[in-house]
Amino acid sequence: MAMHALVSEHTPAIYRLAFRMLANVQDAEDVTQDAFLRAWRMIPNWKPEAKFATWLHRVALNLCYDRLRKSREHLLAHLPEQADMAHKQPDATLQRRQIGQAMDIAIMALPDRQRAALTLTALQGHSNKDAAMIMNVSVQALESLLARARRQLKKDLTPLRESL
Amino acid sequence: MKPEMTDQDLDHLLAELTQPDVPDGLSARIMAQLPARKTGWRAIVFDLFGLDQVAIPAAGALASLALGVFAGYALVPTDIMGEGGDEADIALALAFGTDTWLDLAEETSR
Repeated sequence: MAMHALVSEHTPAIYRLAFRMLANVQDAEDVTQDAFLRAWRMIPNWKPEAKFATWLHRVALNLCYDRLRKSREHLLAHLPEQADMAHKQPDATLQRRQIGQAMDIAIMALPDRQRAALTLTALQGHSNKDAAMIMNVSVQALESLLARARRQLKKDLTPLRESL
Repeated sequence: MKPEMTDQDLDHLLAELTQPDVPDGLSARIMAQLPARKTGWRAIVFDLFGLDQVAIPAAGALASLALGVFAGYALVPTDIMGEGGDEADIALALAFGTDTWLDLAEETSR
């Protein structure tokens, strides 16, 4: 019963983190399931030094990194083509959905750790401290990743500015 | 040349960004994947002390031993113990099996 409540509460956030990292529905589902399975096995050894959500996000993020390492070639083969779309579309008056798509692509094109930092803070509302714990980095390192991510996004999305 | 996007513009875009939809029934599928697990006080005790991994075989052996001791006290007629026999020893021997009991009985009756 308690596990059911935990799964219901945390599934959306874990899935969305996984989807932002992997850009693939099936992979995001697999990672979400795997994260909970691992949590299930590890709960007896879990020490409440961190919030359960923080700990679960870290498990999920590490699973995402594993997958990204394995599928790096596949991703690199597909991203440039998608990223081009973001640069081709801005001259036209973009609809809200198209802006969203361009954002998605630009975020996906960020390096993994920058994408994770941005997703955890700007999109999921974690504090910098929590996000740093999830990513197992210092708060300063997280802020550096965020600054670089934002700089890159601003550069990539500048053509969208007229549509805002 | 177009002016670069400002931090405010970016924050606005990020705030407006639609979160990906969570597939229907994902939580239920996750629950279905989780293996059956002990519930209630047993789960708490076992999880706290790791009993299911370490001590359950030992606990089973101790329980058998205790049952044997109890059976020894309850069932062994006093007249087979002989003079100078030790009820506790014989009961203990019962727990280990007949041969041991015979050995022990012989030893205690010397």
